[in-house]
Amino acid sequence: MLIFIKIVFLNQDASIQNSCRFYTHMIQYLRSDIMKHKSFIVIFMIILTICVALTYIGTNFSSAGTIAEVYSGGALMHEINLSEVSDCYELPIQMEGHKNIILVEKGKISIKEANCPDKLCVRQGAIKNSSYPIVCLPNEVIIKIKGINANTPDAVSR
Amino acid sequence: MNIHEKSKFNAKRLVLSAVLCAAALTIFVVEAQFPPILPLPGFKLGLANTITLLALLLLSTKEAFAILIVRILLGSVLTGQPSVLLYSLSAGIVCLATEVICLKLFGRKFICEISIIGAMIHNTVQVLCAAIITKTTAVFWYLPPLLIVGIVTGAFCGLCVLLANKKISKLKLL
Repeated sequence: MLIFIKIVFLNQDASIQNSCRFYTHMIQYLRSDIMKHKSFIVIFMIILTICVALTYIGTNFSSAGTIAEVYSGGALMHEINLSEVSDCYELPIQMEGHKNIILVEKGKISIKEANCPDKLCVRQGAIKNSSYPIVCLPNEVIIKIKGINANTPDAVSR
Repeated sequence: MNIHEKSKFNAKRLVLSAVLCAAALTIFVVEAQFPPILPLPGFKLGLANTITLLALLLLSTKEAFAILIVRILLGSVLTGQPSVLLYSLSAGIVCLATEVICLKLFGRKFICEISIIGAMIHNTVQVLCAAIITKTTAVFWYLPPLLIVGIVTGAFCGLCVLLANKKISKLKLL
């Protein structure tokens, strides 16, 4: 009987020692550089997943609007209802040497020509109803499509 | 400025910072010639930032700031995009300031992570600038994809700095 109790106690002692060692190891590990690197990676992965989700939302759950707004230098220049456009036409925008030619078609809008250095706005192609606006930063031209219902992602960002 | 600070200034530091500045400017100009890979406004590899980080590691904070400001001012003149100057200057200064703080907090071993944080901050500040200048909030939809891009390019640049720093610190330039 005594031996049994002794064994149990000894075992408990050993387990306590083991757990102590485990915790000291844990603390050392938490303070080590590898752990810091790992925690950094975890944080970046969390940010990455959030960003991927937001990008997915932005591209797929977009506002079902048809009114395109053309801004130049922060001011609203044109407002076009894309569903009422029958024939496609070109819309030139000129301001302080900046020149952009906007192509308006039925249901979609794009920038056809620009004199900005990187031509990113032309490469972006036509937008139909996405929440991503066409941006030409050097010429300060922005084309965005206004959502109709208030429950759009566009309303959240405001 | 006392005598002790004056004695810190020597020709070696000046030459090294000038060489780094020239390298940064070259990388900046060459990078501006590449066609954009993704149709994302503000997307760039940001290789010139590696030189700024390298200056931060090899020299000091002051010299890194000097190299950054000279690179952005001359780079915008050389690439012929003075309208983008405001974006890159504000973003660059805020980015370098956060990198200096992070370097003090975490140490030199975490240069890769610091580079990622810097790239993310840089993109965030640029989107903020675009939102303020164009007065539209829809620009913020570009923040998530730009943050993804920032993590990838920041990791790449951080690795570049890590490897370059290993090689250069062996040379004992200073």
